[in-house]
Amino acid sequence: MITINEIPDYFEDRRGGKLNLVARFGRKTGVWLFIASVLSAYAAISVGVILKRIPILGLISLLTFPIAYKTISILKAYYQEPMKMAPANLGMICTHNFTAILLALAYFIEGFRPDALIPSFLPLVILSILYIPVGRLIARAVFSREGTEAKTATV
Amino acid sequence: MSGSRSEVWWKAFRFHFTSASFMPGILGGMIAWTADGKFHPGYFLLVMLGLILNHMALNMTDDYYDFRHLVDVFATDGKNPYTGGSGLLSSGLIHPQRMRQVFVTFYLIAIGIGVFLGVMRGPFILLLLAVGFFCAYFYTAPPFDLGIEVLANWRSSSVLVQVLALELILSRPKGFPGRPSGEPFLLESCFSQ
Repeated sequence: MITINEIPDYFEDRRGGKLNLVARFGRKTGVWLFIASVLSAYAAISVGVILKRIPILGLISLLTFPIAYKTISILKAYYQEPMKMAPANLGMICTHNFTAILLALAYFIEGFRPDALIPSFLPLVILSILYIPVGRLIARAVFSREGTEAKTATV
Repeated sequence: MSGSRSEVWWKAFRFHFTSASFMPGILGGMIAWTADGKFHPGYFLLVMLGLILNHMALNMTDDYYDFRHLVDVFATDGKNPYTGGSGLLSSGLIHPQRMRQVFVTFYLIAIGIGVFLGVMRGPFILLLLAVGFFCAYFYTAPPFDLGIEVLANWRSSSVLVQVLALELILSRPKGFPGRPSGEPFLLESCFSQ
């Protein structure tokens, strides 16, 4: 996530002397670094399931791959245009968040015990509470974008 | 504090980015319970508080030193809304010294939580939390300025070690020096920011 967030800040960071990986090696390298990072995350989950380190139900977290794929497509097309690549930044936030939520759900189902309700439910309850502000922000961003796209299509 | 002031500070905290810290933390708690059958609600809540305070402090530290390094000053019109700082310092809505006081306070509380957990659960926790704090603070702060050097993405390490610490806190007895299963490492490689 930090890599894709550094791509639109490329010029500001360079001018300010903030030579992070993207500012130092360029935006195109940043794109490939981002792609490698995203793919390795999915690979890590798959390997974790194969090695039985992650419950098999954890594979539901791979359902976010289409969002990741779309994010990569947008990034590859618009990485030189900070405003046009904004949907890719949003896509990455969604990919990260939803993958974690789905994995948390998998662990919740795997670890649920009716005789131990606090350990079973507390992490999920805390996740729900903490995620409300984040979810609202994402929903607002997604719906406002869809509204804009619909308006553009009508015009 | 007036509504608009609290809104300004809420914007300064950039809470929406803390999901990168609290989600792996929650997963760490769930893994501790699922894999080891051990879970301490009090420690879990304390760690969550520490993670969130540390991440919000990190966001403000980033803002503060970006402002001092003049990175924010170069921000152009039509900026991507998902990146960059809050812009509250460059717009004058928060005084830099006030922001510094707030993030230092957050760090102190987070460090206090870390020390408490270290005392309760063993010194190895302290080591992990110390590395996490170091990476969070010195991402943009001098004298190391990790974000300004080639090892720019060290901030991710702060999340990584905190989550590793979380699972150790929740699932291992006092003084336990390490964890054999390797699950936190694997998960963190997926979800650290």
